[in-house]
Amino acid sequence: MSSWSPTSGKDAEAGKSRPAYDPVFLNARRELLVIVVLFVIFCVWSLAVCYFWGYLPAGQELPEVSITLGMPSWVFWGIVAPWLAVDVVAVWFCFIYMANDDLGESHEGEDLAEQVQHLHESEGGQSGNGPSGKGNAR
Amino acid sequence: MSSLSHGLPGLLAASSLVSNAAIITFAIYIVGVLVLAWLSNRLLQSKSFLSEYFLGSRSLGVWAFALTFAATSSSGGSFIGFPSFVYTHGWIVSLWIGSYMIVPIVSMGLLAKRINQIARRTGAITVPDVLRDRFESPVFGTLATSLIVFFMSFNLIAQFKGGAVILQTLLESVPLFEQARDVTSRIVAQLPFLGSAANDPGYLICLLVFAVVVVVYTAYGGFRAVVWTDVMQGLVMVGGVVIMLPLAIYAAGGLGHVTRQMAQMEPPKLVKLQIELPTPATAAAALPKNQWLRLDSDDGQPPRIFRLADRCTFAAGQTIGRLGTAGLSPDAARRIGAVEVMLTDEQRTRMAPTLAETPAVRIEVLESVEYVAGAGRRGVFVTGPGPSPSSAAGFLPLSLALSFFLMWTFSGAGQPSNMVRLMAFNNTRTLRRAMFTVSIYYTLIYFPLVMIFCCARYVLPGWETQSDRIMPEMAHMTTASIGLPWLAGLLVAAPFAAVMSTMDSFLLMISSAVVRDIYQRNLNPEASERTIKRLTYAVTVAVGLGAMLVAVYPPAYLQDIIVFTGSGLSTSFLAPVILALYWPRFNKQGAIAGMLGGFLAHILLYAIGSWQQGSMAAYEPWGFHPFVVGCIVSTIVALAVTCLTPPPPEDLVRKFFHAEPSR
Repeated sequence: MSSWSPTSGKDAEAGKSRPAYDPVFLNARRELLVIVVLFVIFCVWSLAVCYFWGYLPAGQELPEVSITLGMPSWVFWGIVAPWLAVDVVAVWFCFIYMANDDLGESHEGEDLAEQVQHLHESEGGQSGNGPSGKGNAR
Repeated sequence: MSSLSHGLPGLLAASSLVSNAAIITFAIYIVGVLVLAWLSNRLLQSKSFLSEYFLGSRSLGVWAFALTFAATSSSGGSFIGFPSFVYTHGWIVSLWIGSYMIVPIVSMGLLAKRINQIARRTGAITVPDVLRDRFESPVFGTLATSLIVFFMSFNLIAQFKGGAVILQTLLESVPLFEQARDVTSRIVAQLPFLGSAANDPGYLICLLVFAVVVVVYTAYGGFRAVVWTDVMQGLVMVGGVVIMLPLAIYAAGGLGHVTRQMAQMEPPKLVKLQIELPTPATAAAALPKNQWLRLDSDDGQPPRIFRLADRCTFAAGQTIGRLGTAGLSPDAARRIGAVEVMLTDEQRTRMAPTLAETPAVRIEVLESVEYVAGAGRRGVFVTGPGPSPSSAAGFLPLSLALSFFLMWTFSGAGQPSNMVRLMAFNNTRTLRRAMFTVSIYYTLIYFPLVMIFCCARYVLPGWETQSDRIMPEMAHMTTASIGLPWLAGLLVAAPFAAVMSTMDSFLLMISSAVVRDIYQRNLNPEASERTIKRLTYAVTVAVGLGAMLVAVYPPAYLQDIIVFTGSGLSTSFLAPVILALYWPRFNKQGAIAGMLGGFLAHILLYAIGSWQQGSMAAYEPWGFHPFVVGCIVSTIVALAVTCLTPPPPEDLVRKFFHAEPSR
């Protein structure tokens, strides 16, 4: 991937058209929405099952405990079942749905180099290289 | 002081059973950690210093990324406080921790791609770096740095104390540790400047050992040492749980059996006893903590069973037992704290040999306090909201269950220590695999811990006296039952690992905030790499040792401080960071207002709660934790201020939201 240089504000003011949205941003935003929906589904599943099946009203004694695979049934259907379902969903989400994206090259020291350049410019000096020894991006 | 055992058989049976195996395992483990730090430092010599020291050169692969993320999130609470909760409140704790099913997908997937991408584009090394660069706002960067240093400093001190207390709890009554404590006790007695801290030499030893080890390996090896040790620590944790689960179920005779027994259990009573010997003690003697006592009934009822929560001492020639604490009035000193244990019939049968050997003392119950929720009711340990000694609504009413579901999930996403890890993985292929790995990792850790410590409730009754000790006791009991006592050492290494993996991350966060965000980006941007390198080592050591010195005088409200700082950071960072990564219109005014809004709402709710209750506490409107309320405030303020102020500069939007033009 080639190195990237941000477009200056002056270019934008000059009416240069924006490039398309970054595909990483678009993919991440799409995935974020799915994540929020998954959270809501599993939160409602877990809380609803546990509350309606597992909470003992005040003052009542438990007549008999209903057991599934050794644990109270409300724990199995309200915690274990959604937990295992999340693990299955994680296979789909991580290996099928989530996109492989190119996150780009690492521009080590660039932010600091820009800062030093601005500092020199504001002092009236000439722009130069940052302390990392790497050249300025612009 | 001699024991009473010659006259009272079985008196010391309740002393800790943890052998020197724990201390030997700990020593081996420490050596492993230091070797990893040495290897990391060698790698450090060949890379760009700051990026390698604070971010591992953004090159973490699947296992390193997954396990450092998982281990940093699991603190000592996961292996000490959480088992204690399960033991005390029963199956309902599975709902309390239930949101961990979705935590990996949310806390990694929500931010990972974007924060990693933006950090790469700008060369950002720390979270404040990302925020400063995203808005080209030194003010926002400095605000983020200040909040990190503020909250993390409190948290680091509390974690140091927590680490020392956990180590002390695990090593209590280990012969080697007892000897070291005696020696230290004599040394610190001659150091008057230590003041009240000298009263607890065991704590001082543990604090010193923990702090020195963590500071040395973190300072010497940097982020990569922290990550590699996290990998080791993560494996120790999951290994400990996976080995312990079948042993616990086997020892308890099956999980279904345990659940049926728990359905018959009633909460214990918290009592004060007067304990009297039949004849005056011939020499000074004592009943240790956790000693079983029996009060036989004259009317044919089963005997009442007690377990001591305090050590009871008898002076030579005296018959009445007293607390060892100095300065108590005679009346207060004879009130010995204990728990009245409500054993099921089957537990009484199992415990018969122990109960038959209880010391022949006369017991009078001076005071008996029942649980506020669940007292005298069967079934409370297998249903919600669970028994509670202090809250009438029970352990986990529905509003609190929802609060915790939200908090564990989104609080993890908002932690800067997690965000910095999201900046360190090498590509999205690693991210996808790591998210799945952490999902499985949490499945193998958290729910099995619930099952293990439900089993503990049946096989090791009466540990409400000191429920923080249930983890090492269960480790010993399960391994002894299969004739492998050495395995207990491995199992109790899990809590060491959990605390260390959290402490090292926090130490590095503060150090990076000081060196990178304050010094390099605000004071001296042109500092040479040599200067930065020296400063980094010096600051990491100084911050670590400073936190250790403050922790010599341990802060009160330990768990409250940890919750306060963790939720405070998430409340301040979560909304501004999500909006910064996903909303092109978001501007620096909105970001600063959102961060301050969340921070102030959180602080205000804690101030009101502390003022109302007279000790550190949160005010929870409608039963919702300040994290939930603070995040809502932060989001509303950030959105409102952004909409009321001019849009961000076009070049910033292009830089962070539009495709990189090819050259």
